[in-house]
Amino acid sequence: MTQAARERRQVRVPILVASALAWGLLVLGPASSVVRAHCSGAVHRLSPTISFRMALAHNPPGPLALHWLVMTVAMMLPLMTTPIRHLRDRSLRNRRARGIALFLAGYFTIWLTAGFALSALEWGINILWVGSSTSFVLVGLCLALYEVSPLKQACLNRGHSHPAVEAFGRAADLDALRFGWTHGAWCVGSCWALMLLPLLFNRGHLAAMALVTLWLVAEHLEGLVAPGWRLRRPRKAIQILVAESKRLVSSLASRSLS
Amino acid sequence: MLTRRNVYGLGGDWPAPLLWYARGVAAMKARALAEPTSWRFYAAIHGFNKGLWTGAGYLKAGEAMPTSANQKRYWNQCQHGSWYFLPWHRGYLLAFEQNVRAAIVALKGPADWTLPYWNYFKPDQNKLPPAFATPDWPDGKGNNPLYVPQRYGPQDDGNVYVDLADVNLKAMADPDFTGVASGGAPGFGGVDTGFEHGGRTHGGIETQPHDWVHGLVGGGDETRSGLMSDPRTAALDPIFWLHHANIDRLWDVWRKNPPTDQDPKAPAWLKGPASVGERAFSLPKPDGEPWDYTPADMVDDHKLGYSYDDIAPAAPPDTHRRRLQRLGAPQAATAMKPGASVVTGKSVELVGASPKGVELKGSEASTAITLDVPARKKVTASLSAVARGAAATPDRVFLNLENVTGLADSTAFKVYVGVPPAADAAQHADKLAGSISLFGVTSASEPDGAHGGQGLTFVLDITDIVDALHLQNALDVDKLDVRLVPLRPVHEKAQIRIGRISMFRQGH
Repeated sequence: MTQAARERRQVRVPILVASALAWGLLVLGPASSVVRAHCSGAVHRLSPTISFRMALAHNPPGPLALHWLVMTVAMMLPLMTTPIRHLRDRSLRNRRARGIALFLAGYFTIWLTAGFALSALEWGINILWVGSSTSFVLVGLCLALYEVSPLKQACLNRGHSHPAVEAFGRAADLDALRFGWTHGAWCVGSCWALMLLPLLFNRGHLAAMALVTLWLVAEHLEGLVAPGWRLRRPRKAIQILVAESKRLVSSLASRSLS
Repeated sequence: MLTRRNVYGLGGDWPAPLLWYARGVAAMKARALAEPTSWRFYAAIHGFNKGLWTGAGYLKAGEAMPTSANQKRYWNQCQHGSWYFLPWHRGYLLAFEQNVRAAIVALKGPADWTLPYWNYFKPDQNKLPPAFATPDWPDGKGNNPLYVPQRYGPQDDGNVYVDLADVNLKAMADPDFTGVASGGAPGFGGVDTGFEHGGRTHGGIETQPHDWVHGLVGGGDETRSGLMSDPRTAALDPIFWLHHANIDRLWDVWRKNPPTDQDPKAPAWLKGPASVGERAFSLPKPDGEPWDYTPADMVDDHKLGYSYDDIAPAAPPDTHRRRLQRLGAPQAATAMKPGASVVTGKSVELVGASPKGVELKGSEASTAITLDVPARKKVTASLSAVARGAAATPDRVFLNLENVTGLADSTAFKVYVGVPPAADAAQHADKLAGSISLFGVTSASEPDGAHGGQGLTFVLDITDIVDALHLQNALDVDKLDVRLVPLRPVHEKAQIRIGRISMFRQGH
């Protein structure tokens, strides 16, 4: 293993552990039950205003924020290896942990803000268009349209930028925080539609989240291209899977021969 | 076994191998762009940009382009800022050489023709070889295919040469092929990456002499760029191939110093990016069929059927021994086998940094690196430990020019460390950290480019300078001055900006 590979692993392992713990909380904990409970059919027969108030009452800001924090740690942290490595490498040793903490604070603040907006959007969609498959398809089309849009690609591209940061004092703290929220903003720009998708499912919510996470990882593996209207296929992820499968088959075959 | 020879050793301005090269190039240039064995198709394998090509007269409006499949398979493939830099370019040279040879043989030329190399390090051989500098064939008639008008040279006056005072082989002293992108040694061969068409951190041999010669030969400024100055046009210039043959030769020279100076053994390098599902290295053979290759295929040029006429050591091989003597450990130095190198330690740490945003315009720019006291003391302790005999592997120290962005790839400048603010940097050759040419900076600065517009990062080994400061008791300071001196004044329209200049230590 090269030194660069070791350095990547030093950051990737704790990130994956933290993400796995968050997935554990999502699977075992009650984190997402409140929203799902609210979206039962009985509530939807009420007027939109009352339904929205009930949604707010069932989802107080504290637990909702916690839910979004756990969700974004689970889904987004695996995408953060490169920016965290960048900040770690470019910080003084005694400031590394602090810088990364500030970066994450900035990043998750943006996601929590976006989370409240996305939750409100989800409630709106569910309350106004409950039970209407046409409406559901319409929402799906809107999200799909965003996914193939130049704006989405522009956000993906800018999320790959890792700026120079100050090394000392308050300026270094501010830069770490600024890097976090800037990165968070591009991340929200590129992922919000996909993050909304699992929320719209009353059943299979976690499975949808897992699928979206895999898609996000595959999407981040792709090379950057100029913004434009295009379908984004996970070519590289598929190629990696094929290459790894071939390697596994060849390794098993050589073992069985020996 | 075929032998690649020094272009200046072939005799005269138009030796036979160069004349045949010119005829082969002319034959390839006569082919349509869409043909995989055409001159322009081969250049586009290195890099293609519609606007630049059109502006330079290499692409006409409405011209038939290659199939989409061929463009995806072959074009924009060069590996830069990557540990694949050397093996990818070796394959590129080989395939190109075979194509030229096939064209030469078709013209009843020699079947053992080989690509010459341009060793600009030799005195009197640092000028552009004459056959490339004239628009005429030897009979005085025009249309010499080796001539390119878009070669502006270091002074932007069309006089193309490589100043021996500015080009160096410091990278040859790096015992490790593979480097890191975390601020430490970028390695002789580059940083461990995947398929990287325009990576962020250039390796040692890539920064110097590769980038530097590209920038000096191509020249230009923010309004016009020499072909060699930009990776997207560089391979359109016939001298490109002789420059890269020299870089390829230096790879062989570097490997003459075992047990260090070895190619990577990591499967990811040997098997190449295709082994992990990324794009394969693929080039068209003379019959137009694809040839896929891996770095493992490239490690032994003898097996590939060629060698160089000169692979004598290019740099003092006992750099580490001399360093130990300098730092006051003559016994440890004597104990070392002559020529032996020591693999660099794995711990990389930031020692200090300038404020963000250093703008390079006009004839000079300067900033100061603020040093972190605990990190600086580690460096001092490491160097002092050598004199006490407590250690034989002192820290190496590196200067990083991070996030360099701009609009002029031809920008070339020298970097000095520790020159007092009022002093003339040119009088302090001992403080010269290195020379940098911004080959690839424009595409690396595009927000929708390969790395989101974050620019390039250059790493210079300043161990010797830091050693000298330590020995003069001048390292225990809060700040170190850094001076950037361009070869030619930089116009503000070039927008050359350095994100930060930092100093890193690497040791145990």
